[in-house]
Amino acid sequence: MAKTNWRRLAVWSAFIALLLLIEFVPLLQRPLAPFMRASAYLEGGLYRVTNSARQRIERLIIGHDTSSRIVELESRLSLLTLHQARLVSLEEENQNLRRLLDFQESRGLSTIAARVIGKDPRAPAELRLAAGSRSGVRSGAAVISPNGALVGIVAEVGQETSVVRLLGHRLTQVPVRVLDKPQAFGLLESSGGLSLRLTQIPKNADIKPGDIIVTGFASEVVPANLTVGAILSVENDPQGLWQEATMAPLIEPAALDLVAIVIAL
Amino acid sequence: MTKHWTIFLIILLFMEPMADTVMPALLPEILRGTSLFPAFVIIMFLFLPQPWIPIVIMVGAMWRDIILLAHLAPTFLGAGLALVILVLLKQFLTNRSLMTDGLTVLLAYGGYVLGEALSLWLAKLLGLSDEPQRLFMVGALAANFVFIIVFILIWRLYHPDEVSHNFY
Repeated sequence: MAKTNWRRLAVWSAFIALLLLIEFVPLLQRPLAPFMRASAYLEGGLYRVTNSARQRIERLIIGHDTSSRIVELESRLSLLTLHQARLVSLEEENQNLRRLLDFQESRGLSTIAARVIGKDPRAPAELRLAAGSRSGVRSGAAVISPNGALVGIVAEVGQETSVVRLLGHRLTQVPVRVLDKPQAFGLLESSGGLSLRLTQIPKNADIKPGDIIVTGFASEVVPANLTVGAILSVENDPQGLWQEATMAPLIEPAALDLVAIVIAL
Repeated sequence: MTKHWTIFLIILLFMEPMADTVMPALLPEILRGTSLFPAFVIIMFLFLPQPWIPIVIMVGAMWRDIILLAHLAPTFLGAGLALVILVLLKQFLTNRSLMTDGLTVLLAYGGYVLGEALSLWLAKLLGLSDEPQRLFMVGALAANFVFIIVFILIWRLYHPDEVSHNFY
């Protein structure tokens, strides 16, 4: 009796193991492939038939096709969501344009608005703008954010587009000064593209973390007194000829969609 | 069992996962997730000769898992657990009153849900799928149970000879 039970248990275990093997090993499911294909066809057909049957029943009971109505309303909802997203984006763009216009009027600058059309992950310190020489853009021109901070300097100009080198680009150099401290001026450059450094600051300049940095001498297309950033830390080596400082920028270039390019002062 | 019944049961075994995929198109939102498989288990228990019951149920469970592309064999585990509970209870409870049948089915169904939930939870834990929420839709669970109880009631109505005495 006990032997029969053990035998039965062994047969059952083997059967369960075989079924589990078939379920978990795709190779063993190959003989089932024709049945599975037939099942997929049948499934699709059955789904369509039952769906249409349900719609017919709903039409019969409720008087109109609720499923179609739901589908229609869902598609309208998607459309409205899209419109709303577009409106939010337009509103933001409108605010930025107003800010740029206010800035232009308050500073008496001649600028044009340009949309940011390219942010290349391989060149994170550059932006491509949708304005070129036909709009009056020149190489070396200052690019300004909607809140009036310096974004970078135009490096390449095409007919319809231009490339701006951000402050963090290793080739960008801008003469700057510390706001309200006439003795404190220097050169803004990027230290290997990693951090923004102020170099060649006179030893006697009284600078400290938190001081605001603005553009220094005005050139043809870079106005003076544009906000650039704030000092993070100061290094004054007693043996060195100059002081140096690290600077934090005021804007996040990745978040910019619209900028102004100075075309004349 | 007649030849026709055997053919019918084989077709049922083949069609069951398809019926499950069709359910969402047929049922209202609250009952989405209702499965015919527990009813399939009961049908097999009622109509098949004893030695064939576990074989057909386990093959059916495997087929359902393959067709529905389930991870970690939830139906297989659930059906296995339900089957063990059904066999054990049938051995101990010789009384075939409606109350006994109802309790047996309830416990077996509980075992099925538990086994399936365990497998789906494990699949979620291993990052294979994210389905357990669907399993615990109360409407679907209740609908499943009502469905099989109604089925048993109908069966009892047509087989009064098998429920009027203790047959073990």
